[in-house]
Amino acid sequence: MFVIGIDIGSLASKAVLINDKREIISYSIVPTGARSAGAGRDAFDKVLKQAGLQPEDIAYVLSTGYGRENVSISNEQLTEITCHARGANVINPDVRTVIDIGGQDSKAISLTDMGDVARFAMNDKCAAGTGRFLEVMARAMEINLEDMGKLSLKSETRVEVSSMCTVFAETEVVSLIASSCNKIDIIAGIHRAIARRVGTMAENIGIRQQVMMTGGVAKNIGVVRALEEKLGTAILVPDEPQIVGALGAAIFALERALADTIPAE
Amino acid sequence: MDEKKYLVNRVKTTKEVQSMMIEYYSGLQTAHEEGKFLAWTFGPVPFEILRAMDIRFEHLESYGAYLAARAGQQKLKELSEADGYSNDICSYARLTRGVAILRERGDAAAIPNVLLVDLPDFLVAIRHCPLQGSVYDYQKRLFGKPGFCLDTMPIHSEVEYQESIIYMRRQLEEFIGFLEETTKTKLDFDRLKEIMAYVKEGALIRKRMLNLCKAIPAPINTFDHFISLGPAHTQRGRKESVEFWKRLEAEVEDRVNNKIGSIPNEKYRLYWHNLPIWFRVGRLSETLAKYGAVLVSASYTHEGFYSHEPEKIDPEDPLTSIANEQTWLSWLSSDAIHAADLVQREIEEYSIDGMIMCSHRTCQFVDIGEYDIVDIIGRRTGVPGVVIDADPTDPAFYSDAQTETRLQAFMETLEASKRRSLANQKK
Repeated sequence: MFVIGIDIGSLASKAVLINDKREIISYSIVPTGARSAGAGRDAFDKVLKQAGLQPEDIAYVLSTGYGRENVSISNEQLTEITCHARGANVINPDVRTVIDIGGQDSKAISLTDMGDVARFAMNDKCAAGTGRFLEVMARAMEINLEDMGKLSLKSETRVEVSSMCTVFAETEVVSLIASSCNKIDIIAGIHRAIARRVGTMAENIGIRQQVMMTGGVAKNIGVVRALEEKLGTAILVPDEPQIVGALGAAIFALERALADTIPAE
Repeated sequence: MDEKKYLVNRVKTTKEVQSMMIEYYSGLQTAHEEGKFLAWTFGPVPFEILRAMDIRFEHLESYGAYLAARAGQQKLKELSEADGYSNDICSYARLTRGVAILRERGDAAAIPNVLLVDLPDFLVAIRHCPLQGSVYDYQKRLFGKPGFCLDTMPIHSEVEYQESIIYMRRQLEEFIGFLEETTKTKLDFDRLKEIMAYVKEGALIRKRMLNLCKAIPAPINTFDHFISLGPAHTQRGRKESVEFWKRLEAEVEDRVNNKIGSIPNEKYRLYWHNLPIWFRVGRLSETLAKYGAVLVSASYTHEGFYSHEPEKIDPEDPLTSIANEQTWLSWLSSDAIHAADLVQREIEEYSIDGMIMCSHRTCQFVDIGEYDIVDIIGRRTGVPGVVIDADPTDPAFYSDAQTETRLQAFMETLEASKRRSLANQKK
């Protein structure tokens, strides 16, 4: 039996195809662009192709993410909060806190010992502390987004970026560049600004060990280190942090599909 | 065209609110023509005294709520912001400033005519919220009109509560002096007693009606109660409002007797903390109903407007009764532990499964302690809560997608918790 979880995020859409042993057979990450429904279908087609399967081979599709309602091929929708929690729990059952930073939102989730969501908090209607914030800053400094993490680890002088409004922070960064601050130090300052924002939100719901970070921003080692410093704890990052929500969705899809196959008593 | 189908079975009597409020606002428009004084009021001031002196009053929060529910707030917001009000200032206050600017400019096209109230003869405020007191001070200077602001104290114990009642009662006497001097009319104390008798009768009925929501399924949604808050503020002390509460109680009682629920397939009973989101009352009630969730209690409906011990209202001693109510409201807003105690009582009495804590961006007065209350209640009862970000009247601080994701995630959490508890029972 095969099932698929699809996570439609604001910047990227992810799909994970698993078998009935919960093994990942294939996964895909595609840009969401302007049409979330199309991106969901693209991600779906890609995992099928990689696995050499046809749509009729898939027993259940469960979608999550902000575009979850727009995926016509899905049998059911769940929120990204529930799916990230389940995905993290499957990767490491000892995880009790998940910090997810995606393209346009960030969230902190506290898990029960059973792996269910106990509490959660999300950023309010603002791009501060999200992937979009990093994108804007990378553009302001004319550097590649992907390089920011490693570069920031070389920082030797502490520079503070105090504004949390994305627009104000961009202005602040431009001013720091103009005053000849080292770009590497500025990047580290930006990462600490994100860590302050997201870390405080996570502290609001209570940090319990182990802590896992998911979402695209978890690929930025500078943000991970800044969050570790802020929270005073080590943070686990899975091999592919961007697909944790889709993996959680796939696990729920498998549970639903298996429930459907149990004959009624 | 097909009529839109709603999941929420709204109580029919609340449909009367629309005409009641139109009549009320029309009365504000004709106040000066009829030779009446018109007061603008900031906060839930002692309307009973104004009514006893036949003074018409515009109530800031009812006005903001009414406008926001009809998407009529945008132009007024823009006017106040262009006038220098930051958009971080209380959104109710910005609307009031906007309507003042419209009046001063004689530009009547921006909002429905019935809501274009006249400029005030004087202002009245109560400092339950410090910012509202400041807004009152500013507008009083701007209008160059007289005004009176009742002061309140932060309260954290029964002793402070009793002392504050004495302080409030003394201020009420000064307030009456201010009104008599400003209007050159003596307060008819017998009229005030008569009004307080109606306040008591209405409050007793309303309290019984609120209690009917302890029934399962819940016969009325708290979103319906939100709608009836306009009359609770602006109509109290009138015989007509007592009749309204009687009709509402009868309808809700009939539903209880016939086991008619506010929503189909009630699964979760929820509590709402803080002010409503006036521009999303209908949509949110439908969103929750989709998950089998119904609001059965709220801090704003169940703790204010004389719902605390209405049986103790003494029409023969109106000032002490009013002082009791106003001081109770102060206690509610100044002590998170006290608020948590009350939430816990509601959770137990109304069989509540979860709490929605509404954090209002421009209402810092009520925007404190949500996470503390969630923590306290979680530890005491195990009942979880979710915090949503919004504003009472300003959609600029609200996102449908984010709020609905949080609510859906919360429902998923409740579902998982219910499943776990069933599994444990089977073991």
